[in-house]
Amino acid sequence: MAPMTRRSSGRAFAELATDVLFDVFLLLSAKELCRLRVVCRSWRSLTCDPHFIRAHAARHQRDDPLLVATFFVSGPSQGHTMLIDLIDLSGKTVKRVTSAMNPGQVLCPRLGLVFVANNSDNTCRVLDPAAAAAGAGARFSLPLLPAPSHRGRGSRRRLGKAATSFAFGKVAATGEHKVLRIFHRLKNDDEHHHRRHLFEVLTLGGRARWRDMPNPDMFVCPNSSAVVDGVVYFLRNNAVYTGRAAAAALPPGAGIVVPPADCVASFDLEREEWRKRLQGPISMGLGYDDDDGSDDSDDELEPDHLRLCQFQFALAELKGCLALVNYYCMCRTTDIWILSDFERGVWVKEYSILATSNNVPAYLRRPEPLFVLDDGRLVVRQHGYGLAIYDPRTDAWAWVVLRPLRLGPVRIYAGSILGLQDIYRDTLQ
Amino acid sequence: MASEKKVVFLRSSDGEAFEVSEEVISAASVTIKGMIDEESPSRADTAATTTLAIPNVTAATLSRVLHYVNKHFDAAAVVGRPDDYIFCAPGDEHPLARFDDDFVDVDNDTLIDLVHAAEYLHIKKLFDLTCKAVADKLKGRTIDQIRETFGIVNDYTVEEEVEVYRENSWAF
Repeated sequence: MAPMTRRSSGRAFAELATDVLFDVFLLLSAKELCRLRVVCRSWRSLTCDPHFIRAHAARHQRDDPLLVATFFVSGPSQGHTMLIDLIDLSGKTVKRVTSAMNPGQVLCPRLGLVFVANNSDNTCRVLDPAAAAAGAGARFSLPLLPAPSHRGRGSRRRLGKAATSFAFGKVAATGEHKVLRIFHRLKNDDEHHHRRHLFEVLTLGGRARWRDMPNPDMFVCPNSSAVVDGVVYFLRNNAVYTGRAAAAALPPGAGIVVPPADCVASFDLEREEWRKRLQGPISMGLGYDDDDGSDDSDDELEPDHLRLCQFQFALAELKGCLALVNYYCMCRTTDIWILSDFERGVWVKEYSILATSNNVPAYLRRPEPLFVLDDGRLVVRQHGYGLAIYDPRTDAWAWVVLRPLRLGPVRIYAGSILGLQDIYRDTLQ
Repeated sequence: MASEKKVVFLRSSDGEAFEVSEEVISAASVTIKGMIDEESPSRADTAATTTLAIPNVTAATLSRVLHYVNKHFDAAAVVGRPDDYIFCAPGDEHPLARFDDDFVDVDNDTLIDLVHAAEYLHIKKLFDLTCKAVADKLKGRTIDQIRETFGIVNDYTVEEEVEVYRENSWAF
């Protein structure tokens, strides 16, 4: 290092050593750094350096995440197409992951990958936003052929006609990504197997093959899944247990106990096995007083009390935990319960959002929670309306401005924001 | 030698010598602690004070650094235990926060000199403080302002700059 002498004003920064600049840049947000890339080549290459990106990501884990948002393009020429964009919390597009693809199920539970499944033809693709050139999307397709034992159930073609749902997660211990595929509405099965599901698992990479998995000890709703920490959670399948179809599926005297509507089944992606069934907070009697107001412990709510017209449930991942979203129409309340201890089945009511006719429009009554900001504000998606931020301290809503396209599913992107812009990395060193 | 406080002299790149408590500067600067430890066998039996050459830091910068060091690392000079953030009640401002704010409220050249001095002398708290001050100077300024203020040459071609801007346009 040369001896320091007085310099004319304005030359100092140019002389900042790269390792010092490294430490300075670590203090800035990813958004600020993306802006600074325009200053000069060396600033750009430093902020694109994988070593820097890793150090920055480790330090800024609590920054606001990006969202993977899907938009539906409607128009006579476009048919049914879908865009997938990474957007920030102000609704701005950070990067277009892919455009003009067939609509499908979009999954990415806090991962740096976007998984798009097309439920109608059972295909699924994995997109890596960081590797994707704008508009294209680096992708690899998962094998269509079911697990060996599942192929035997009727002709392959029939199974191919069954509906599918997918869940996608990462096994922390090995770093592997695994996909859980569920075949449902199987066409060729007999009465007793009507609505029976088939589960299979695949590990991404190399010569991936589907492996058949056992069924859980209750009928689950294939589209209700939420993935937290390598575990896939499902709600009860109401169509099997209630209504007219239940009589056929569950003949009286077969000894089948109907689980409460807030029961949760969970599949461990690492061990590839189902865990014990988890009782929900409402059927535990935590949620609401009975009509007679007694809190006699024998007086638990019967499953019949959890009628669909009163309670509706959904699962989500919130603050790194499983969240059970419970819309209680009699009180027009959405309660969000966080599972704080799986083994002991401890639920904590984190939010209770009252939709009174005064301050909340009708469409806000059933928000889909996405994540919680550091200050406790809750980011939610409103089906068909867009994104909103709910502040529990003031009971007020703020809207995220989105383009005039219809908003589809929204997920959280956990990859690095700085790692996204790499189109010219090779040419601009 | 439990006699009175030992001192060392630090000589700046332009030849000025500064006196500082050995205990204080050793606690603050990893680099100078290393220098003192290297010197100590040879001076164990002599009463002569040590003078250490700091060839990378000017007198102006060194005097500022020592001002900071005496404020932050001299236990006798400060009330309470300001280094132990955890002993402060939540919401309490760090007792030296005001001092720190004023300390880095300087022109860019002085600030950059302080960053480099803190890095060379390995004074982590000062390095973090000055890096934070530099980072704050980058926030909320336009690209042209940053280039002008900090004397950075735009080495992109027009096409490249347009492309990089397009890639990162969401951040503007």
